[in-house]
Amino acid sequence: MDPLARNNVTVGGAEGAPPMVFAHGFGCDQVMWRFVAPAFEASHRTVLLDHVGAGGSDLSAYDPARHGRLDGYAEDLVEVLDALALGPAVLVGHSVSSMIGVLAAAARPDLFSSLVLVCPSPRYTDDEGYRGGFTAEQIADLLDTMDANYLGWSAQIAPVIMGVPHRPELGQELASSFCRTDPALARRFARTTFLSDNRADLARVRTPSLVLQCREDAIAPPEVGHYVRDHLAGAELVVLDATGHCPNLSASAELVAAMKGYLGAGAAPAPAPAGASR
Amino acid sequence: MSSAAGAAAPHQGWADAPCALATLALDGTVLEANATLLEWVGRSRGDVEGRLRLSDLLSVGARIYWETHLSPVLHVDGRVDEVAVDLDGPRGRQPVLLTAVARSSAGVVQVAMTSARERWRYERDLLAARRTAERSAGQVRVLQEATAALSRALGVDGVTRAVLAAAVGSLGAAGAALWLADARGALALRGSSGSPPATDPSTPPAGALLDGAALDGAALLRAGGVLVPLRGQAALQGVLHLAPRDDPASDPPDLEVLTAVGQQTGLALDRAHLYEQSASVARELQHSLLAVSPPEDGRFAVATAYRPGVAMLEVGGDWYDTFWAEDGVLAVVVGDVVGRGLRAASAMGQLRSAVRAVAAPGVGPARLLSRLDRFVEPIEAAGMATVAYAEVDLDTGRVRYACAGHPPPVLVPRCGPPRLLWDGRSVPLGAFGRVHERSEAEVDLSPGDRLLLYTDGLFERRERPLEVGLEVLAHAAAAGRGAPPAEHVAGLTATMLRDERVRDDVCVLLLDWPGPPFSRRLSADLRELSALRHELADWLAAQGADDAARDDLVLAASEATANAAEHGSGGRPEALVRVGAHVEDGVVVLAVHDEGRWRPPVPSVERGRGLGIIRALVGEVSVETGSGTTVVVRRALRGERP
Repeated sequence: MDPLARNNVTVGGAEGAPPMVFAHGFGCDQVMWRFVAPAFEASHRTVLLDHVGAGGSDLSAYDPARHGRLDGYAEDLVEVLDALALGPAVLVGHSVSSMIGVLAAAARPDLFSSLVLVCPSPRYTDDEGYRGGFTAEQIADLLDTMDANYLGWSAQIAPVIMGVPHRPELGQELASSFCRTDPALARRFARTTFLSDNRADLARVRTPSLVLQCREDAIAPPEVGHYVRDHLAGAELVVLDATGHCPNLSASAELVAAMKGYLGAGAAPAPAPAGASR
Repeated sequence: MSSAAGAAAPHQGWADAPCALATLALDGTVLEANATLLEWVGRSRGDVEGRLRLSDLLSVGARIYWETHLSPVLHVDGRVDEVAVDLDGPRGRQPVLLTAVARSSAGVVQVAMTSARERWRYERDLLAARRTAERSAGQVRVLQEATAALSRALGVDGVTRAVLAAAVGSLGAAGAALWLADARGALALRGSSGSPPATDPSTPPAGALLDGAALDGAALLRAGGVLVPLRGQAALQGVLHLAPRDDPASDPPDLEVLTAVGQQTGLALDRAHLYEQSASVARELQHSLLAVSPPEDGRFAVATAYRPGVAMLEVGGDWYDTFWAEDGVLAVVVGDVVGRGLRAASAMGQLRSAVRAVAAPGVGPARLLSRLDRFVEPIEAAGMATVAYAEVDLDTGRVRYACAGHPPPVLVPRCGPPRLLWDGRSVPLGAFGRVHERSEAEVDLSPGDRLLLYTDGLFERRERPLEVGLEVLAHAAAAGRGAPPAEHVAGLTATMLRDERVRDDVCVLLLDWPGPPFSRRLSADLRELSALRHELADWLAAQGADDAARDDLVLAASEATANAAEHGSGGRPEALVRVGAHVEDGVVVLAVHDEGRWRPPVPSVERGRGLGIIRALVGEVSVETGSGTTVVVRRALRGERP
């Protein structure tokens, strides 16, 4: 199977420039980088992908055994980078993808020059001496909410494909696919995301990394960001003046600025990001 | 609603609208909430406005959903429609349908929520029904897959492979160990797949199965894994011990499905045991029928081969046989009963006996086959059987043969090209439920010729036409003719079955007819000695003697004959010397007889010296005296002299 087709890989930016790979978090797809990736197109070869089960990925490639663990997604990522053969990349991983990046970098340090972990959490549920923010029952509540929107999800496909009168500028392709996926796979991905424990994997990483945390984040509380910084060798923590779990959408300008600050001279100056004015 | 109205101050209708309304900042902070919303969440205006974000008012699950799904969509698409979420209220949850629109120009998000309590109850029922339907569809699919795999499985090994593969496949276990009960009910580890539960291979996990819960055959969840009893009709056939997957995304073991698969596996094991039993009976039967030793006689040699079909479990109805049709006439038969298993094997046994029973002096091949037509009528499994039958006169080499729907025998002459015997053909036995006119044909064997009978598995291949297969067979049969019969058959079978893809039964019978014993009379003047040498050499070749044996024996014979003519004739040229030879167990017995009186070697130096030469040539020489003198020489057909 061609990993590039499987993960709906989109390559853009400057040819020959160092690669920067964007991996989306739970609930979304590569479209969520639309306000961030353009800011690096002048300085980097940008690579966007959809995890199997999300966006434009090949749903038939979903393997319950492989994708029942985050390691399976990390293997997918490694296969994509091997297939592209662009050299060591900056991995920008949001939410669960920051842990997927951690696992990939632990397994194949040669593929990564640095990691940018946006709102990471190595474990979402509480444990003795560790506060992840949720209990297992609350994760079950999430699955119920997803199920409750299952019927609506199916019913909504048809009108959405007809067009998006209130936001014509987005185009119908985008609106029809963004954040919509097979509910059964989404449910499994939710369990893989929220019930994994990757705390021990942090110590296996030697790649320099930037941890980006929002001031307020209902999914990954501030102490989780500190935990990641403390357990990841050579990690830097930057707290964004933003709220919510998706600064790549809600505070893209701050996110881009923090990334450029971290990547420093390595990143050439880029025009203001298209979506930053929002 | 125009976009300017979004930011306008709320009026009375807004405040006490029957649905919950709110205006949010772009980061989700509640700027304004109407009375209905505040009532549903049980909070005061001061607690909420400017302090909390909308997601703070949601249940935890809905909050995650908002952050991971809805907020991104709101940012990209500008709105979300009719999303089902729960508000966290003082009287528990308030299910609502939420619609939100981002007004970017005003920098706000407008939210409307209608109560969905009734609708949610209805949807929950729908959802439950859908889940149940999906779950049973999934269960049925898994069960069907497992059942299909089990019903395809052959024997206990097959069932073991099928159930272990299903365990880590459609049943979704991380690993499995299969324990099977022996005749006394003791469990022994039979096999495993994936990462099986960590147990001591010498200790069955069945302790738990002995308690009452297992008697009804239900799967049990235990700390070390899931125990699935495999109950047959009469007894516990075994236990499948599963290690569930521990991935976060994996489903918990479905005990209902496992119980059902366990029952299917138990029955499959019942069937497998029965099948193996019947297969072994069939195998025994076939072996015992084919193991009957052929008649022994120095005038012919028969070599046979039988190779059973797939995996020793598929006993077929192929057979061969040799018996005396009448004095001096040997019958050779190869037949093929349609089908497999015990039925085919027992039909084969009956048909084989019937051939012997109906064969009698004067009957001949054609009438024999017609009589078999009558015989197979009541035996369903013997219908459409094919037979090649031949009677060989061992003195003359004349062969009468007939084939009922059977591939043609191959005549492998000592010299010259092989021949497929296409005459004497008719339809299979009992075809169309009636007795048939049968034809037969004749062919003459020359000394040293061989006759090959076989079943179709030897040459039939799906990828080539039958004629081509037969040509290949005839060619291969001719190629091996120099070898002794047993080696000839073994070599031919190996050559022909090399390219075989589907294993079928194969029966091969090769008759070697060396011709009548050698017998000549010469007058003592030895004018015919040169002719005798040629004839004897030819005869020896027909017996399969190798070059060394032939040279030795011809030399020994001429020496003995010359000796006899000189010393045994008493000087009378008309006196006769008889030279005879036959083969006993691969050893040529050559006898040279004269009418003279044997005198001990000392008085006759000449005669004694001739004997010395012979002894040097062949090793074993004896001299018999009585009415005249006979020198008997023995030497193996093949190999160097002793």
